[in-house]
Amino acid sequence: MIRFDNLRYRSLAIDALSIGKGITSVIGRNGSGKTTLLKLCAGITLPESGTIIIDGNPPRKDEIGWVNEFPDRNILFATVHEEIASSLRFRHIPGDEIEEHVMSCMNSMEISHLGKRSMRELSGGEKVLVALAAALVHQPRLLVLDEYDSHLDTDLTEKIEGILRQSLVTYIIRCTQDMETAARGDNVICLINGKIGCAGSPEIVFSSLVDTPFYPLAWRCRT
Amino acid sequence: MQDVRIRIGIAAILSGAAFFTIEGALAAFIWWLIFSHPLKVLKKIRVVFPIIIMIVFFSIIMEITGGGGLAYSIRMIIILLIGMWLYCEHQTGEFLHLGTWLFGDRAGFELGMLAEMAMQSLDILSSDFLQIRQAQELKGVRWGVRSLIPTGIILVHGTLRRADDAAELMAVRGYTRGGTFCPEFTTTMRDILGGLFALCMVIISFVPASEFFILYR
Amino acid sequence: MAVQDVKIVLTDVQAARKNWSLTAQGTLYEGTHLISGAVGSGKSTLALMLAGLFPPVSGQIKREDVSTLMVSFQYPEYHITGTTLEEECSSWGLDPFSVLTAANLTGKKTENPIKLSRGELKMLLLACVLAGNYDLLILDEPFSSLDCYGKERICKRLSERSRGITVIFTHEQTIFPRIDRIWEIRNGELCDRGGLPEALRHWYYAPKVIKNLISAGKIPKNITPGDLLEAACRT
Repeated sequence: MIRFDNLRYRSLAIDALSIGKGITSVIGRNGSGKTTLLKLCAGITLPESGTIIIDGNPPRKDEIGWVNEFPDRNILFATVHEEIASSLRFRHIPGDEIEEHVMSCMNSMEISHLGKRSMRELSGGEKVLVALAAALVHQPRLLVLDEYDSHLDTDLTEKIEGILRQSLVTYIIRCTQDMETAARGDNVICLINGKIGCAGSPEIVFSSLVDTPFYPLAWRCRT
Repeated sequence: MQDVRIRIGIAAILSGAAFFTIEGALAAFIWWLIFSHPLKVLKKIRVVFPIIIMIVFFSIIMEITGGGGLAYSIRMIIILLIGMWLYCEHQTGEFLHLGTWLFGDRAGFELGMLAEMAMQSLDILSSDFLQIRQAQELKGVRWGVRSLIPTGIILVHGTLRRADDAAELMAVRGYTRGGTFCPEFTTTMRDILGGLFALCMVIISFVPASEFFILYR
Repeated sequence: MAVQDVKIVLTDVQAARKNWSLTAQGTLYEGTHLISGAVGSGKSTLALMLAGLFPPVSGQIKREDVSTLMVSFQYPEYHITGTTLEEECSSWGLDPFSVLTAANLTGKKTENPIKLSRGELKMLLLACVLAGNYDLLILDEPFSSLDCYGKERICKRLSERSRGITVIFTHEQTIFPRIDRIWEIRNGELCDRGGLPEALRHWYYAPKVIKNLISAGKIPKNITPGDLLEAACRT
């Protein structure tokens, strides 16, 4: 479980929340605190008070993967191979182990054809896949995705959904403005002005949002 | 030229020779004509046009005030050409190999990574600059000195934001200090020839002409 | 829709970059056009070409009777010239109060636009752009960074646009304005899928909800949420 206890950070205030295994989608209006919550879960920022515990560990003591909103503009290394290997290199893992993990990750995501190509040569979609591979290569317990899908086409969104489902990551927390994507998750958290408006299964959360544009259109149009 | 170590070495000795003497500058220029791709380099010359203008400006001042401006401008422009050649020959990812080879997997890895990130940032900056210019012209803002300020603000702000994002990414990916890396280089015959020739040109440029004719005397 | 002779004629247009190439042929008449395609298929470059900001490798793009045009870029910060929101609105030649009201930002008029969140900045930019009366309006990913409320507001404003050509490049999957014609980039070619509702049957990148409706034999008249709901409720 991921447990939040009396969490306070700027305007974000969460008294108590538990997130189970699987894919959790965080939704809410612009400025409701979604990115703030995700950064706290990833350990990028520390709460002003309160705690976040992931299976007994705080985020900074656990393995976390992170993909931000514009991964194609936040590339650390010049080649595909180096970008994916980065988290293993930073941990000073031996070179042949790095090679093994990187190849395994690229094969499982079906991007081994990208090989050692320059990141500059890749399309926007390929860059997102590489960013995801770089987040998954060290087998994190928690994967955090900050609105990574805001400019992806349907095929790529579905491919990534498949990769996420097949990955061995215990917890996936993603922020999205696509309610159809959010509805496909295992859990949904709706933030309103920095507080939990509603949290639970997609059915429970969206039933409280039926009169808002957040209600998935596909559900309204169920034939 | 494939081997970045030899390229950097060549650029360093030729630039040094060009900086100190006019003979060194001419030797460096001859090397540049033979081993670089002059047309390819000259195509990118407008990128450094502001620097050339600055060099010419200071040369004129020097010439007016005391002389030596012409020699200065020749030497500086040749150093610029060597720099342009180095920039054109740059291959993606090689700074990481060079940094780690030079300074190890802590400081060297970080320097190399920093250099690669800087190169990528340059690409993004130049594409952003173009789009900002287009956006402002569409808005009816005439391109000139006054529009440089808001452009500069947007570019700086964007760069700082990306720096924040990169720092977050590095932290989450477990960065503390340096990283495992095994540098690899490809050295070709052209690299070796180019390096030897550069060395010869530099030595010749420092040896007085009379010493060449020592046997003749 | 006011009668106007604005159109963009693409004749044997070819464009290419390192990762993709694109051919385009056809005419965009007055109305709202939606152009979809895979990420990296050249949509943003096509947007620039339609605006005359990027020359094609070959072919011709002719803008007829287009005297005013505007492009809304994917990154809204490119357009900023003001140091406050009020100043920014004035730099567009617009009344700050009405624009900030449309963007839901009246409480932040003295703030620096740079300090806004990306979603807020996008709303501001779109409010400024939609307040103008351009013959040709090109929007590159106008819905990215917006929440559902923001998307609805923008779609409402777009649906109210009564003249000129509007071209929307987007990956959006649910909330759309009223569209007159659908195009998409497939296999390096700009394909005209046609007017609505006929275009929906041939639209490869159609959102899942639309594909499901079509499979069920319920063809929506258009693709606004209201139209999709109306089609879904048909017996």
